[in-house]
Amino acid sequence: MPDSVQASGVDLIGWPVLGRFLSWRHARIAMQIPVLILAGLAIFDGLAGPSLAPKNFATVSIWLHYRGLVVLALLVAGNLFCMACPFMLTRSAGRWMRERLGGHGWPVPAALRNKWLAVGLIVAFFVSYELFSLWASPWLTAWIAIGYFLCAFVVDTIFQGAAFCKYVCPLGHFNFFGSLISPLEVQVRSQQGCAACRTKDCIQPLAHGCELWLFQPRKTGNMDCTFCLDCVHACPYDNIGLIARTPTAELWDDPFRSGIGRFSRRSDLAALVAVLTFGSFMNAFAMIRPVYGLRALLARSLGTASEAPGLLVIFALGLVVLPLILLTITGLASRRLSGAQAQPLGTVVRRYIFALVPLGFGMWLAHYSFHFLTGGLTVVPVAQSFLTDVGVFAGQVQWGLGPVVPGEWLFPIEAVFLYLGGFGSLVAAFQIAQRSTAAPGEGGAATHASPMRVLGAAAPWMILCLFLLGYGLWILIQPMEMRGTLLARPIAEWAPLIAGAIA
Amino acid sequence: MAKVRAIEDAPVTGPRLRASLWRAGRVASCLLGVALVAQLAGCGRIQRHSSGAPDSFKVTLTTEPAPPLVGDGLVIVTLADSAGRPVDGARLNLEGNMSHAGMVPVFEQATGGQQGVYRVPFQWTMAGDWIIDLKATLPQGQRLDRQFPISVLASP
Repeated sequence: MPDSVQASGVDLIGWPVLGRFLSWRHARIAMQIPVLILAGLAIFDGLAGPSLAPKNFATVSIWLHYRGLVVLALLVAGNLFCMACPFMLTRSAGRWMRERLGGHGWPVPAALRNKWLAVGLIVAFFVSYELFSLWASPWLTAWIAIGYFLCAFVVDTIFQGAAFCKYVCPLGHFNFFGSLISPLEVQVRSQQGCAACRTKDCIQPLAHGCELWLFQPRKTGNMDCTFCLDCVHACPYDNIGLIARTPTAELWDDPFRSGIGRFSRRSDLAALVAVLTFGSFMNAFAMIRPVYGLRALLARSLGTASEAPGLLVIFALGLVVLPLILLTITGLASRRLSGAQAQPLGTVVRRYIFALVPLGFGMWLAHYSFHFLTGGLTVVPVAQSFLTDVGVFAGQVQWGLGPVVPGEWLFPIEAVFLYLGGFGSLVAAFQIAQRSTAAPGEGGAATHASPMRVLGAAAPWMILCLFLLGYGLWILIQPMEMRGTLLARPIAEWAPLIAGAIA
Repeated sequence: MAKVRAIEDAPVTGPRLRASLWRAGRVASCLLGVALVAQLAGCGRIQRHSSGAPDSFKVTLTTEPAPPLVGDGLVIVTLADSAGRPVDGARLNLEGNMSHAGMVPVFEQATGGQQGVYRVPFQWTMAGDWIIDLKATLPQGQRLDRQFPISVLASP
């Protein structure tokens, strides 16, 4: 942003009540504590409560409410879950321990200062979700939550900064992906205010500035921003706000972004977008009827009674082979039609792949909102059942509660979300093409390419978006069959099952 | 020394008081959390995988059609004692749950029985994996508890 530019959107930190709360130094912990309590209850119920997923607070709160609310929050605001992340509280304990022992933490090794570990963990999660039917197991769900707490504790005790958030956390990286289309962004109010600053508190560790190394005057967009508001509280000039912006607009340009660099030079970020975009379709595909027949067919073809090898084949095809083929073909076509054959294919793909973000997020939104809207009210009888068991509630448990909206509303709502995402992707593809094909002109002003050249660059990506949109609609139309193959098994039976699934 | 004495004698006010209260609050919260967990751990929420004492009754569950299809169907429960004698007059409570959180359970009840066979109309609301939780109260007052996994198809 040029020095003279003032952020022009609505600033939530300037609002009378909400703004005062967000400006309060302890705002984040005030949000984290209730979420920590809920997480603790979920873990407790997952380990010790009913083994049926619809009756357990762990599975209901995490697979229904957390997923549904996080995508809705990303759509209407921003990365609110990372803002209220409870894993950071255990991290604080680890740091306190580290300081008492005289340590300062190690810098993250250069080889790990990228998103590849997070991408690998996300893929592993997608496969595990289907392989072990995580949605059906309160016990495993609880252990996933415990694992997140432990991992944040260990990683951020050993390493400096917010290493867990920036390089590891799969949930956080999903939120970073989704927040690329969010309407709010943490950004400076006036570049002139930053020009006068000598202390740069917004990024200074001693001033409790940004631990993800996003220097506010040069920060662009929401990638890597956890909405922790440390920069807001650290800034001595009150020059940072939570400011409204045009959703998806940050995808159109490719500026240098503080703490990140340029998107077009980051293969790891391109992989993150690819995995989460194509993963959205895979995750939904895995819950409809055709996939069960496909898994059984693959098991027979591979000569095994276990469906695990077939599942791995499906994921390899859906998350690796097919995306590579589609992105390669689309990139080659875009390069050829725009007359930019001299440009490396990788550069073209890394630039344009961000056009898929709105559609990928739209598919996640459609899928997660389906589960939330069909069963959001089941948290009431689950909570009543929980309170009955602890002797606090003596009334009738309302097991009939479930859907938030009538059933006939579901597909239209899902379709609207998917169409919104598709529209956002079509616009993004065109905007990226317009900027990518522009030539630098005199005085720094770019010279736009001819409309045919812009269309040539954008069209293959727009066609890919339309193809994925149609595929997504087909998935949403299919009747769902929810299968959980590891229901209510005693713990002693888990080891051979897991070993068999891996073998 | 006078300065140190002044600091030691100074009443704790303002920021120091707030910081002290904040620390005390955190310690109290941790202790409360431990107490809460201990309370929960001792409560009836902790479920056992097998509920109730083992019994010698034979309970089978089949469906009509088999395998069941989405929509209205029939659950057929057969109840017999250890000697194979059919048990009539029991009160059956069936609860059907799917494997995924968010699905509303299906509840049905039946009484009577003929030659130990109880035919219970049951609506399968979605295709996929179900667990039928059967609770039977026998005429003598004894209670039985069984669980049956069922896979429901969308179409034949």
